[in-house]
Amino acid sequence: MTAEANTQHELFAMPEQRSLWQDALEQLMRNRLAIFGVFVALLLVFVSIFGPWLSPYDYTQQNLFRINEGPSLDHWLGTDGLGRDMLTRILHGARTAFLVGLIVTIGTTVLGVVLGAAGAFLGGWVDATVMRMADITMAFPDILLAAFISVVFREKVLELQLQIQEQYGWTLSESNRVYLDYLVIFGALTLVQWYGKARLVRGQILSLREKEFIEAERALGASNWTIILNHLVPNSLGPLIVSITVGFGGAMLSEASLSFLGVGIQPPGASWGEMISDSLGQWRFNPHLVLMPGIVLAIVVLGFNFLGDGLNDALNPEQRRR
Amino acid sequence: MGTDRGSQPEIPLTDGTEPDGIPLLQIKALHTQFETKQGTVRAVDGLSLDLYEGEVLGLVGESGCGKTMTALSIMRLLPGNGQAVAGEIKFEGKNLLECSSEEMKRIRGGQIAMVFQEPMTALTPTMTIGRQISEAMEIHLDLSRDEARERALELLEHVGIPSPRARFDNYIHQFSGGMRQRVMIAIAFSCEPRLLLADEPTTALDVTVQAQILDLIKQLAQEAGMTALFITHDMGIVAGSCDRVAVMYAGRMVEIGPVDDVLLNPRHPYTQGLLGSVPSLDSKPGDRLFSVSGLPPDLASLPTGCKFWPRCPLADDRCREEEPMLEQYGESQAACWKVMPLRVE
Ligand SMILES: Nc1ncnc2c1ncn2[C@@H]1O[C@H](COP(=O)(O)OP(=O)(O)OP(=O)(O)O)[C@@H](O)[C@H]1O
Ligand code: SF4
Ligand SMILES: [Mg+2]
Repeated sequence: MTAEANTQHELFAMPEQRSLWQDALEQLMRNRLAIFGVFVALLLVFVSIFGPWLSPYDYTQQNLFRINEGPSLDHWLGTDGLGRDMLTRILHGARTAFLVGLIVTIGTTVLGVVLGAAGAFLGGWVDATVMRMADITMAFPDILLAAFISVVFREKVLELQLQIQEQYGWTLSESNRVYLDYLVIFGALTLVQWYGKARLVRGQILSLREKEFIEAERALGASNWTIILNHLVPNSLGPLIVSITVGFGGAMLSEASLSFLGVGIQPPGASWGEMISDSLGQWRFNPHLVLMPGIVLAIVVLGFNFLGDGLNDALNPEQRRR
Repeated sequence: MGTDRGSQPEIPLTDGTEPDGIPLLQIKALHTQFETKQGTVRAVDGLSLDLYEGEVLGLVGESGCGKTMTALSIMRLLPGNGQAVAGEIKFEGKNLLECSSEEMKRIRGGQIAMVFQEPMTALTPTMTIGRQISEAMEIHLDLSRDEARERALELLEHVGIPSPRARFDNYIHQFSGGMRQRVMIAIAFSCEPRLLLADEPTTALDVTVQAQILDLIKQLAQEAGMTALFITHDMGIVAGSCDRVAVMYAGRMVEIGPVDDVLLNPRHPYTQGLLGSVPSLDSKPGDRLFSVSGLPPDLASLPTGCKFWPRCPLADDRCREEEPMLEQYGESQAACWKVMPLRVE
């Protein structure tokens, strides 16, 4: 392909041997948008862990004398319709977003890798079943299906909770009910978003199995482990990592959509989507109440997409521009 | 399986028929089969072949006649549904078909190396060229990373990659097809194997590059005193690069002999057909000249008698019923009932 670049730095001393990962990291660090993505991701992790200690208020604490306020010294981003501190709720929304992103991504990755690999390796009816399930899931619009699942499941989970309460006398406090919301959202989004990774993993395995370089490796006398670790994994992991990163942002966006529609995180839980829908009535008078969570959501999702793009370029040597 | 079917007649090796010495590789009545829904595909069907120390043997034949499967049987790298069900492949006195998989790993790449047809896909896209060349040496030669790297640089230079230091950390997409094949060759020669299996190493390259790559392989093999099996469709390559040539049809050998003899005096009608499609200046008037018409046989249901009769212009009843064995004619051997004894001029 490129016959140029032959004559570059001929004078260099012994080239160090480099691995794909080293090269990828270096490449990633050169990509400004990806750096932005890394920064956003790290900030999100930090805020979602330490958020509650960063502000003097509680995210459910209401002050009905000070509702729908603009930014001020003691409420930097103002207050919402119930007089809750906006900054605190946005910080807490970060925790929701991060948790949803993390758990849904883990769920879809595990489900996708297991089902996709099972389909590729076992073939036959296993493969057919997995792929038909993927087709069916894919045929429905994600958000509609997730909304449906979450509505149906919420009832079931609430029933279950009531039963437990009656039988064992456990009562769940208000804030614990938020975790029920989480559970429902995690489940719904995982069930809706697994198929992408399953198809990806299956395709990767099927195509790599036929690749000549795998056979060429065998012809070199390489052991199975060498082949798997040095050749199979690097060649299939790249696309999966990219899909995981982009899926992270996607899951957060889906959660926000569900909460915006009122079938996601329920009040008083804090979610950026729910904050937007809550304050929508104030759009004319206090646009910042809608804008703040909206902008934060956009930046975070964008950051993850940039990171995904950057990883895609960095992990795929053919995409590298030198 | 009739193991002695198709094996060569016992003829003393004194008449210059074959190179002197003991064979490095001895294939005896090899049967390689695939179990498929259509039945048993006999990809290699009773092939016997000796490769002598230091010679370059060309293996030719139409697409699908079993050339690649012969090489993969030697490497024990047959696809999942394929198996060498009978016969022997002796390499330095050891039957490869009975070696443990650990032994095979040591032999592969270390003592027998293979160059594949497709340089575009036979290298890993996510590993630098330098690492890929070092890898085999780290496996077989017990070299440290630094030593392997040092030798990999030498090899890159030796196979004619310009500015190897700058190229060391490149990935394959930064290399042209010809350069990739040079890298494959560097890998194949890295552990100084005794036997090289080259499966159509130049088919995927354009003509000028083909010649360079062939010269390179020839030169390196000569330097190292290596034995090589050259698989190809191309009689031109055979004429230019090989010492002997073996012609395969439907999984068995139909003719074998020194290159000059076989190319000038092809005895088997199939060989004549293959050569007939190559225009030749010194074909004499009256020579039988034709290209092979018709389709290659279905390896899952072979005809009785001579496997070539459905396409052979000379076929008669005997050909349809009895299978001819390899017989000595002059310096070569051929398996055909209708071969005339060599004209004495
Ligand atoms: N996995 C398989 N299952 C069934 N049959 C196979 C399989 N692989 C190869 N064969 C059959 O084995 C026969 C020999 O194939 P082989 O690849 O050795 O041919 P070849 O002489 O190398 O041809 P080419 O010149 O096209 O490379 C072919 O007819 C093919 O149909
Ligand atoms: S044996 Fe008969 S059919 Fe076979 S190649 Fe010779 S002449 Fe043709
Ligand atoms: Mg082949």
